[in-house]
Amino acid sequence: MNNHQNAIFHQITNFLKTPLALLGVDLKNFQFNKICHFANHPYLCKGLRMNKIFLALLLIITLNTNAVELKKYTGLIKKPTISLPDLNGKIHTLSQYKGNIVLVQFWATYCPPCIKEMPSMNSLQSKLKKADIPFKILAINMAESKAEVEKFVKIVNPEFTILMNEDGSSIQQWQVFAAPSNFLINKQGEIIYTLFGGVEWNSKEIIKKITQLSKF
Amino acid sequence: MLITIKKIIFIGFFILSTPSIAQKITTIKMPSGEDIELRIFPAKGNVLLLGFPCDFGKSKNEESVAKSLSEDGLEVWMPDILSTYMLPKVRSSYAKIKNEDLVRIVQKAIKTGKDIYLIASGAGTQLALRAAAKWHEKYQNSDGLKGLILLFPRLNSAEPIPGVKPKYVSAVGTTKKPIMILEGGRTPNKWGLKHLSMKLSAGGSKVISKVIPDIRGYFFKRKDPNRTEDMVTSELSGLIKVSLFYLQKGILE
Repeated sequence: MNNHQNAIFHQITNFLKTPLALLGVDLKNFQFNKICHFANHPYLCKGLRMNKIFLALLLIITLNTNAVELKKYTGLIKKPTISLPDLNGKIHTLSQYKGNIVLVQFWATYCPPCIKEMPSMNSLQSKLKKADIPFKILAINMAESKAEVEKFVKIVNPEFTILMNEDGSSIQQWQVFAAPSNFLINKQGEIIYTLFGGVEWNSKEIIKKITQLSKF
Repeated sequence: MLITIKKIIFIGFFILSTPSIAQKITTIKMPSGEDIELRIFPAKGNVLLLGFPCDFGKSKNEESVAKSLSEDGLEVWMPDILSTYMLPKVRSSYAKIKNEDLVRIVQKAIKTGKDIYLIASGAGTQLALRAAAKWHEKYQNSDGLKGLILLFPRLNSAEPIPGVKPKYVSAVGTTKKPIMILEGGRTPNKWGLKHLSMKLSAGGSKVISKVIPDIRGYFFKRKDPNRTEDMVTSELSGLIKVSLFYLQKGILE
């Protein structure tokens, strides 16, 4: 395909996008093929059909890869600390949870995956409690105000402990640069696994790994 | 009846289409053989902002900001890079843009005799960094390129790993030109700003970063902007002018 054809293709798509949207024409059912034919670029039409197939395949692949896995922790700080207040002002330290498997999560109200996964965190905690596995969740908010977090909590209803870190000190100590960032800590207070991104926490794989961790 | 509807739709296309509001559209012949389309918002001032990678229709608000800047005397050039190569606007596309082509675009701007500042946002910032480094390699004695403005740079080379400092694309730390970074206050990326600034300055750049409170990353491209984001979007040209002020005055400490 030469550069002239590239330019035509570019102009056609841009030319159509806005007016079609403004006219309320269904973009999905609109006959791009005819326009491509009109422009005497049949292989561009083929390209468009191929793009649809490619996008569908990509979606399937993406959905499969969304089954994010816990990964072995590779950071330098093996036994980090926490000393943060919950929404009632009560201070929580990591050492007071010794003997439990602890999921430490760094999250923010503006982070869509954080919001989406919280119900599955409730479910995980409840399932492990029923299985008599000592497990706690400490969800550390990433330096937002108490008012913002309280408003969020009323909507999402987390059944685990929310900790506040308004000055961001723990975010820096734990080397967190993205949300949600998750750390799975063993009964001795050492980070064993990490996980970045939203996930269904009550999945069989995750429950299996936590159950295995609880045996040591 | 059907013909009438078709006619109305056809006329509607022409009436309702939104052509570029750039005052001048030209092309630059690239060493790779491609012709890159360049939208120009001319101005009489001595400063020229060169955007990367731009691409008409793929970014919200970019043309209105460019128009506003040109009205204030700052010339803006917007080369439509990705569409020239038929590349989608995804991270992996940026690696496919040839260095020689980037250098040619910068050099074309340098030839205007104006002070050139490169500007880019998100993952596109790697193109601006690469363009600056490669241009400097080739034209070591030229002084036309004055600095870079990086809006919400997303320069990680891989998915973040909790507890581990991020790794960046190879373009980070390759330019000596002064860099101004703007980041949103409501994005986790602000926690990596210090580390990113340090890595960017490894090439010799003076780097300053500013966090804009109460806004998310890419706020000016969002479909669901909040009130602050709306306000900051309307003031984006002002933020760019402030960034230029920092770069021009060398207030980088």
